Amino acid sequence: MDNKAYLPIFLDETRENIQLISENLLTLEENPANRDALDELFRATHTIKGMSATMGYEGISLLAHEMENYLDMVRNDEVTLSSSVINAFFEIVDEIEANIRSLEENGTCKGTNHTLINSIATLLKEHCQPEPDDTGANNKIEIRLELSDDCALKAARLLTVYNRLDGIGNIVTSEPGYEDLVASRADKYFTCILDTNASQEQLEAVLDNCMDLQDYSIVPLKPVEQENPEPAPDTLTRAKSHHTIRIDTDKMDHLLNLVSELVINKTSIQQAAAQAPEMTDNVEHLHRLTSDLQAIVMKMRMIPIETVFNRFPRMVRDCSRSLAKSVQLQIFGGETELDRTIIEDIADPLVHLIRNAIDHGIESEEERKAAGKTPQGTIVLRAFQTGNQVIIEVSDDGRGLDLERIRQKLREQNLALPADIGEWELMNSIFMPGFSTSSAVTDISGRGVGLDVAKKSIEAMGGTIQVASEHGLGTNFTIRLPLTLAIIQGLLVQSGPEIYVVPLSFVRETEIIYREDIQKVGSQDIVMLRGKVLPVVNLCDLMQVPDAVPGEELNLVIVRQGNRELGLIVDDLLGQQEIVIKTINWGDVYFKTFLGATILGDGSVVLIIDVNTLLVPFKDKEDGKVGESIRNI
Amino acid sequence: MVRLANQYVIFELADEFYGVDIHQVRGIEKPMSLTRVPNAPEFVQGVCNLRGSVIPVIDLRRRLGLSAGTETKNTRVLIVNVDKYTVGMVIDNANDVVNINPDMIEPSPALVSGIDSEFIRGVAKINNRLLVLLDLNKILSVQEISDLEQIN
Repeated sequence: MDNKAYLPIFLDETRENIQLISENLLTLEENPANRDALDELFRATHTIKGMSATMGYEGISLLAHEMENYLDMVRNDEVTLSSSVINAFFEIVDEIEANIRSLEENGTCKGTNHTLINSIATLLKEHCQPEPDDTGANNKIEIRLELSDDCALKAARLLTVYNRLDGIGNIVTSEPGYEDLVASRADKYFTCILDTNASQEQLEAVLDNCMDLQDYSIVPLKPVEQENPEPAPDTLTRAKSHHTIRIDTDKMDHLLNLVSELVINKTSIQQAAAQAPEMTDNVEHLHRLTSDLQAIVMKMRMIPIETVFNRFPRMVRDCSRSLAKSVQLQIFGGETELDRTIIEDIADPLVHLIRNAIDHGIESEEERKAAGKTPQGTIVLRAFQTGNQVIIEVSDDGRGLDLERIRQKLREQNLALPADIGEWELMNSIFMPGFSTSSAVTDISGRGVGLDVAKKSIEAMGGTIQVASEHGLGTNFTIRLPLTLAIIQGLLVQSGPEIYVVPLSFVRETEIIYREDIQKVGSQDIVMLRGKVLPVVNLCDLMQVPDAVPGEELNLVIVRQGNRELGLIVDDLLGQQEIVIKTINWGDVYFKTFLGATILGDGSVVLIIDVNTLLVPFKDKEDGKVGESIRNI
Repeated sequence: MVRLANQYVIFELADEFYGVDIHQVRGIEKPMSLTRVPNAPEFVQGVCNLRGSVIPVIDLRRRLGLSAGTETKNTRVLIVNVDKYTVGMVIDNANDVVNINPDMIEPSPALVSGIDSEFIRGVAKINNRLLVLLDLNKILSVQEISDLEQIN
């Protein structure tokens, strides 16, 4: 059998299982008694072991096998989950992950790391009692009992119990052991593993007949895992719990393209059918079907942002440990859904922001205490949807940005610094290439690359990032992303003979103003709108449309991004429409002021205005509302 | 793959004959309705709808620095692939596809028909016609264009 064909599925599923293991290890670290987490951990490990063995990756299989062995002991309460054991488990997980990465990149495993396995084995052995001898066991039951305090001759009493139990089965191991009991070395506690066919009731009957027992428990143990487990039960539970199939993402993209074409065609049929009343019902039906189809295809592409967020608890744990800081991570809104393409690209910028928050934002425990804060720092990761956008916030309650230091750093790096720079702009200059305030270059961050890269990749997704901070209180990064890249609501506007689309998510409102309302401040046209100054630009001028229609009443489209606002004067508003974004495939060099284009129902191409670029030259009218979001932590 | 003879698509522009490697040609279309792109370089005529994708169309005469032409019934748009981009080029007339052996191609003389020699891969003589073989990667390279913009 050629396993190569299954490699992508294997990699995907193993990644998912690694994620599950990490999550559950973290849960267990918080609460070692969480049985569900342990079971899930066990299942995930077992699946990795089974799958990698089937695929012939002995190295991975061996690692998983080791882990499974120890998990089994944990499950049988033979090992307690101390933090060093959890660390050892994490090391195994890392090693498996390294193997997976190597498989993906080079097509081969890293090979078995016997040193790691041995060192972990030694570590775990220190934490556990000898492994029980489990030859030929099929119905193992663990019995724990406690003698009453006033029982005389405890060892003798326990010996009686031992013999009775041994009578209805075979005692595999016990604590204290038989020899100890014979030698009268015993206290009131007794634990044994019994191999028996007797039922629970029979056992209870036997134990109830024993004198001086204060309490007992009978726990059936699961059969020992076989080396080559049958995959069938696993597949069954999997299918039951997920009801999903895997689809090649290329196929999904193709499907989306086809649906987009259908939407365009539907619009043109709608327009044609306006002349033919007998078609109305059919066209209406077509419209509903296409909308439903489109909605479901878009939904299929949506993935909860959890898939990205899930990796952060582990990262925060490791990162804060290596920096000797105490940090807790709170995650809200993991169920918020985003387009698949965005999900893939948002992880790296978030990793960077969170590392920055731990490294630069959160202070050391002493520093926090001195500042009257809780010793443990908090990082909040929050996602939510507003309208057509998804907002992701990364906030910390650390020391905040030091404006003086930023100013000084900008000077040192000879980066452009206008004399009258506002507080908000100063803060947001940390996204400039080459900027870093960290004096020490650490593993974690501070190389001066990153924030600008993060900003670039977010902008490439059609999103924006801003920072707000209050000295001593914390920092808040806000990322705004389009819900989906492909289909948006757009406002069609006309300027001279040409039509343009303004993405509706950027439109705050539309307004009618009079030509005489326009005043000049320097070279900039402005209007006073409800007591606020609003810069206005005629779209005809921006787009170099030769002649704008003169008139006294002007349509104003107010666009907004962050706290920048601009009024666009247009000749006519043509209405709101669902539009399919088509990228103009010739790079940004050419069409800087446009996000892309769309094809209208009549087949004509209309350009989509990139509001972000339009707003760049317009200065902020107010500094960011700094403290607000931080105090919400 | 070793190709003994390369095939070239031959077209007319300002009464001269030009050739481009057939592997870069995706199709030849009749002129389509264009949407102007504001603030784009002058030789970009606009964008058009090519069966559902939006592609830029350039005025090849302008790009090569030739005199402006008018649209006739022979005017065509040559759809070409360069790197990962698809671009349309307006030409006066599409003529033929011919085989040209590499050894028939001579390096371009210093100045051929007033075109920057950088854009020319070489010249070949077919049936007493002088054929200018264009280097599309140079003509349509985004890097070239952005450099050009900076100079201007």
